[in-house]
Amino acid sequence: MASPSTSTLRGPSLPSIGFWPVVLGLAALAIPTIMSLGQQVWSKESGAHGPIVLATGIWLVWRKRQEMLSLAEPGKPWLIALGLIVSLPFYVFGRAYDFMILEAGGLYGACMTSLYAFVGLRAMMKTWFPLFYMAFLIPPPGWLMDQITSPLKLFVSKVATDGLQLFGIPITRQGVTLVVAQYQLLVEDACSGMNSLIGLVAISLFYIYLLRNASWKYSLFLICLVIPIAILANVIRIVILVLLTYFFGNAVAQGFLHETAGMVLFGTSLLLVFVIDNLISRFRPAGAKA
Amino acid sequence: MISRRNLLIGVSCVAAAGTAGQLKPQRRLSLLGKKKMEAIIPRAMQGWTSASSEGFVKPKLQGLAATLYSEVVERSFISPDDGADVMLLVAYGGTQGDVVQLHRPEVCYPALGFSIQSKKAGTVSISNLASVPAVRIVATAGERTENIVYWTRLGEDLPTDGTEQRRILLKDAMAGFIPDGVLVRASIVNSDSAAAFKALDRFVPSLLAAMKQDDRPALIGTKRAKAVI
Repeated sequence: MASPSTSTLRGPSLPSIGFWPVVLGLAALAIPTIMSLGQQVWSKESGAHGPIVLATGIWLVWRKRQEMLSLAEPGKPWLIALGLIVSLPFYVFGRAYDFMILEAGGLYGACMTSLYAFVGLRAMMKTWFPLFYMAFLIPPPGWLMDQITSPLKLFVSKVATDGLQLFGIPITRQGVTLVVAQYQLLVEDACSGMNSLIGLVAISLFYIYLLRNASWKYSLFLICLVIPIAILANVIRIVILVLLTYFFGNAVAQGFLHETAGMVLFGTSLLLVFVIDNLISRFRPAGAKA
Repeated sequence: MISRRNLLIGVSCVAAAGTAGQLKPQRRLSLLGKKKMEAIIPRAMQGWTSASSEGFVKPKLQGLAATLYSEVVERSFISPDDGADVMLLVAYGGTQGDVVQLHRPEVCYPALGFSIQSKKAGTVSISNLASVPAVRIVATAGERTENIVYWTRLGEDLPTDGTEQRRILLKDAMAGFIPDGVLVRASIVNSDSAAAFKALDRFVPSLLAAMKQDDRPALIGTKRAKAVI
């Protein structure tokens, strides 16, 4: 526990009534934003990881509360003011004129600034990962993600199709439309990008942080693998889908696609990170773990 | 004890939330109103005979497309003169915003296996007096060459690319309203692109001429609708 500071009344003694104005202020910002996110972003595949990130993120920060409080020192007033002067206009502009990234980004900034006001920079640095992880709640603009990830989606379909052809599966491809024997499969919405990318990256980072309190270097190495793993997971998903269609028919495959597609993707990704992590750990010299 | 600092943070957050709520557009601008696209897009027009609409590159009305568009209408017309076979697709979305907005064909066609051979922003004449800003695309997939002319309307504006589309959304939001949006796309499968575009340039004015005066703004905006005779 934080020892109550004797020299100043602004000591970080928690919980205290002093909190409430800030909590209410943040709630006034957050509640409308979370409702918009829920309606517009979390209901789509590209944002489906949102609620999971929110819940696990809060949990990760909560776990660290003792550590944060023990390092807590009041933030510098000018930095708090600066944080709000930057964040709040972004929030207002984004919320009023419908730019989700600015609205959520502004809210994130306001939350970080408030946290800074209570615990200071040192405590926040100590908890950098959960705080950074929460930034995955800020949805990048859909049109931008589509532009960036559309080529990836085509690449994923191509790799899966070429691979399956090698094994003699009669499959052809036009863009992201696959034809397997007599069946036609549209793997993902043609006009969107690789929707799962951000969610897969978030979930892999969560694993790396939680199960691997590894050194900076090793974490960074695993983080570099996160995007290739997300791509590979998508390839595996298409292969499973095609094989199900080919051997069990369209109905089974479509059922699988709609019921479990997300779970399979996230499961595959986590499994891949886990396997890679384990294989590499085995060959790493003991004691390299920090 | 509530410190002055905490009170200031809280009050500024509440003030920001209030300001955002005040500025957020409340009005809707719909040029379609209570009508249905299905009802206002003509099934017959002078100089063209209608045909069945098969083999379209189209958004499925499920998944993504269902959230983007409230209505998708397809029609097919054949010109008795030269046999040009026009596929018309009108995709309408009642509210346009950051997350839910029209997709442009040059983004969707590649995912369906087409490669875009050329893309030109220009205009299509709708009468002797007026034209609409439109985009012409040639897309190929294997042996199939599809010649596309399309335009999009957001509120009263007709943007020709994604950047303009987003700028108009911001402009309308700042003016206090949320616009509706429509994508009007006409295409002909023909390896002779010049002939196809000539037929499409003939088709667009016929389409608008065959519509009721009151229905035209839903496709091309109020100002241009007045210029169609």
